[in-house]
Amino acid sequence: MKEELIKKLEHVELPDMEIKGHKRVLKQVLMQGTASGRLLENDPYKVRSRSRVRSLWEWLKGPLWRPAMASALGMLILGAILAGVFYTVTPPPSAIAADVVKKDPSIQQKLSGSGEIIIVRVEVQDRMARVVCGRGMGDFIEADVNIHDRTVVNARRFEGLFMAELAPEANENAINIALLDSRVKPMLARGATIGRVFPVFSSISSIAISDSNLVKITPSACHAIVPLYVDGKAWLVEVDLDGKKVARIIEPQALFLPYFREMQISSTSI
Amino acid sequence: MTVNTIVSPAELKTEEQLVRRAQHDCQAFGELYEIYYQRIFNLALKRTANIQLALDITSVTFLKALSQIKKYRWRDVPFGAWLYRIAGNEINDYYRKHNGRVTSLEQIAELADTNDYTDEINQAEEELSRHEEFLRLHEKIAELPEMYQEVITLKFFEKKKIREMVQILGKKEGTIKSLLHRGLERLREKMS
Repeated sequence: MKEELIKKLEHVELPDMEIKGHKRVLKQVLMQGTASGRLLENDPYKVRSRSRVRSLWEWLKGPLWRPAMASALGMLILGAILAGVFYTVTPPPSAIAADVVKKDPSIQQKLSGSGEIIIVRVEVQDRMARVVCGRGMGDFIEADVNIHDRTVVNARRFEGLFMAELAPEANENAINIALLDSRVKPMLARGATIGRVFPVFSSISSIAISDSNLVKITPSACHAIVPLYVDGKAWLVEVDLDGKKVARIIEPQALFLPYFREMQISSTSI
Repeated sequence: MTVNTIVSPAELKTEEQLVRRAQHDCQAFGELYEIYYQRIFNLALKRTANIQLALDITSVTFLKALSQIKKYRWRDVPFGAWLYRIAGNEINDYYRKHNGRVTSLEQIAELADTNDYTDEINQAEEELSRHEEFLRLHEKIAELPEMYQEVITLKFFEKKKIREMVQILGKKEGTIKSLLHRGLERLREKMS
């Protein structure tokens, strides 16, 4: 009987799934929270706004925590109030820097598009902070912030968003998927060459800034563009990496051809 | 998918470096997140057989890991073992209380719009409902004391070796074997 049970346990088909939306959103929350100093400081009680204090209260009064927290509730409330007061007066340097960048009109102006500015990374050293920010799909700015004066000292536009590279494995996958497409095969027969593959990403959460100051996309990018050059035209093959298929093939307007040619750092013969 | 907590010394060294970077660089933490997200979610799912609860436990696990990572001390054990332990504790806490959410996720909820992935959750729930055999087994396992649930899930659903379970649970090998033996006996009784 026990053997039967073990056999059943060993061979039962198990659920194995991923909720991509949750994964993306949770990462975004964790990264944004860290960048703005809200999570990095390792203390949910270091809160400023009323809503944060309220969320702390909800957290403490939850059934999960009630027994453990009951005896310490008074101390925690006092601690939260003190921490709240303390951080209202002196928020963490990373949070100050992020706030300064978000409110700076020159940064607002330099970043194309509209919408909230998202802080990608904050590095604090002494009184200065280097903040990388953007508006998701658009361009990025690297700003030096004087934390003491609360001013943006210098701001540089990030070059290389479209130089973004997929991880080598994802890069190879994208090319292989593109090459198997029946619409691409005739282009190959006509001597098409491949340009630099670049990712299409859906959220800021999948972006990292490498040490070389290039925007780097993690392998979680769901789509990639494989440019093909044939007969004097550029074709953009959009590959769905998750679905392992070509989503669509776009013929860019002639206007963009020189741009994509420029990106064709080392064309590969197919 | 299971987390392989036994890795080569070279892999362990690489992970150690990543964890040390993650202690002061959120991007490095993001890399750890990418490695372990699905494993933690699926561990929670196999323990709870509940998509929403598994998502909540995953959220809390990474939130706690991020908030505690500065204090994390590397002990030549894969980082995943620590995440497994956090997730396991959250699940056990849930089962002890059983009458509420794992913890308030307001901090996450106010930034995250679950409408973004409601369809995905619905699909996942549908897929889960198709694993009838697993759900039947889970129902019985869930009636066992949590210490048995843990070892049975790790051994059979996460395909862990005893040595890996030692790393995750922080218990002695003999204790784990004994729990496993007794847990299976109890489960057999329930199944019959």
